[in-house]
Amino acid sequence: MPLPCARCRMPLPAWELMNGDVAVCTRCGSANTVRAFPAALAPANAPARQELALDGEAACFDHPNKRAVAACQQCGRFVCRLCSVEFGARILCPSCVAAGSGIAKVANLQTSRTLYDSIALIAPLVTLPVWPFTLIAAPGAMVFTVMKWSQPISLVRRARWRFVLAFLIGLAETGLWIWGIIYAVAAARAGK
Amino acid sequence: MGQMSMTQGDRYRKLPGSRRGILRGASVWTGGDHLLSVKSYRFREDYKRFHLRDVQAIVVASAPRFHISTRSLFIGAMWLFAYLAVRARFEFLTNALYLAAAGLVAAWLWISAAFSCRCRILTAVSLEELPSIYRTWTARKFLAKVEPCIAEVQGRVEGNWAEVLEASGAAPALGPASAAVPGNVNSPARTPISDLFVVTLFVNSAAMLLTLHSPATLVRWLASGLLLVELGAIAGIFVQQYRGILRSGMPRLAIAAVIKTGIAYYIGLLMVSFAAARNPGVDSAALMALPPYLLLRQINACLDAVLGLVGAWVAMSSDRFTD
Repeated sequence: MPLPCARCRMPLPAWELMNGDVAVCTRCGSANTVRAFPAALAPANAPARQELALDGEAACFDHPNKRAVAACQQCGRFVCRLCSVEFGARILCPSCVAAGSGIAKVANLQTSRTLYDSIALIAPLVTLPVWPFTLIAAPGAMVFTVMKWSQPISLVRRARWRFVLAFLIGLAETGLWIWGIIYAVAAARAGK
Repeated sequence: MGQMSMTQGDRYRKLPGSRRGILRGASVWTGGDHLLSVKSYRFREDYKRFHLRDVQAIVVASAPRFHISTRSLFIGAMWLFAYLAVRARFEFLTNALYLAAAGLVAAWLWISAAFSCRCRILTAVSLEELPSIYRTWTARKFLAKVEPCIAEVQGRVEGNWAEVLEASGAAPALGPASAAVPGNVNSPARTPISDLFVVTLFVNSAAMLLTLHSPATLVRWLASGLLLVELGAIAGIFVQQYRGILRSGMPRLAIAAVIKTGIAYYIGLLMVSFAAARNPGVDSAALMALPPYLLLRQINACLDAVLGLVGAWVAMSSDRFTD
C-alpha cells in the first residue's frame, strides 16, 4: 500500500496501516495520522471503456473515431468523454476553455495573482525610515492605487482596505511634504 | 479532461491554520466543492485546488518544525522594547525579563520539537504539503473541519479502510508523483562538516559570553577566527546538500545562521558608527564596551546557543533516519 509518510515520503508499511488511524513510519519513526477516503479505493487504472463511434453516431470533433458524449455549450462542437470539461452544470470543449471567452471565461482558473494592494501599501511604509524617498513613494503609492484599483486582488481576500490605507498614507506623506516645502519657503522669505 | 468547478464567484471560507512569515505565508480555504491552498510570497499568491471528490487521503506526521512566525517576532520585539525600557531603572525586572526570554525560547523549542507536524494531502496525481498545518492542534482542528466535507461528497469507508482495500484487492489510484521519493531522502542528516558547524555555534556562543567585557585584540582575533570556521562549515554544508550528501534540515539551519550573522554584523556596524559620531576621539575598543553593543553581543550569543541546540537536535534525530 504506497501511502506515503507525510514527513519523509517513504511508503508506510501495510501492517501499520491495518492497525488503525496512526501508522508509524519505519524509516523516520514519525507517527502518521492517516485519514483515507473512498477515492483511495478506486482502481488505479480503470479499464478503458468502449468509446469508439459506430456508423451513424455523433463523433468527437477532435477525435473522429470516438463517440461523442456531449456538445460544448459555447461553440456546439461534439466532444468525447476525454474532451468534455465539466464546469458546474455546463460542459465545454478544451478549445473554449483554452480561449477563455464567453461563458468559458469563468473556467479559466487562475493559479496565481499579484497582490497590487500589498505593493501599494508597502511603498509608503517601507520608505519611512529613509524618509527623503517618501517624496517619490508617497505620490507613487497614490497613483498606483488609482491605476490598479480595478485589478483583481487576492482570491481569498475580498476587501480593498490596503488600497484605501495606502492612498491615505500616501496622501498624508504628500501633505507633509507640501506643508514642509511651504514652511521652508515662508521661513526663507521671512529670513530675508 | 478533468472536471472543473465554479471558483471565481465563490466565497472562500478559511480553514484552521495559517503560516505567516516575514516573506512567505500559507493558508487553506474551502470553496464549496474544493479546498484552496494559498501560498503567499508577500506580493504574489499561488493557488492550488484540491477537489473534495479527488482527495484520497490526508496524512499528518509528527515532525519538528522550527518556524519563526510574525507572531513570535512580535513577541521578541515586545521583549526587546520592555528590556530597553527597564534595564537602566529596575534591576529585578531586568532579571525577570531574562527569565521570561529563556522561558519563551524554551517553550518555542519544546513546541517546535514535540507538538509540530507535517500535513500532506493526497490525490491521484499529487502529494502536496499544506504548509499552514504545522502544529498538531491545528492539524486536529483542520481534520475535524475537512473530514465531514469530504465524507459528504465521497461518503465514508465502512470499517478499516486498509482492510477494505486488502479485501477488495484494488490498488489505490496513487499517481507517480505520490510514490516519488525525494532525491536526497536517503542522505544522512549529519556529516562531520555539519557537526563542526554545530560545535562552532556553541563555541561561538560560549566565547562571546565569556569575553563579553574583554577588549583584548586577541579575543577579537579569536572571534573572527571562529566566525571564519563557522562560515567555512556553512559553505561546506551547502556544497554537500547540492551534491546530495546531506539532507535539508542542516542547510536550513545554516541559512538561519547566515541571516543571523549578517543582521548582527550590520546592526553592530551601525551601532559603532553612531557611537563614534557621538563620541569623537574614542577608540573602537571603548565603543564596543558600550551597553548597546554589549546587549547586541549577548543577544547574538543567545541566538547562537539556540541555533546550536536546534542543530544538535537535528543531528541527534538523524540516528533514527539512518537506521
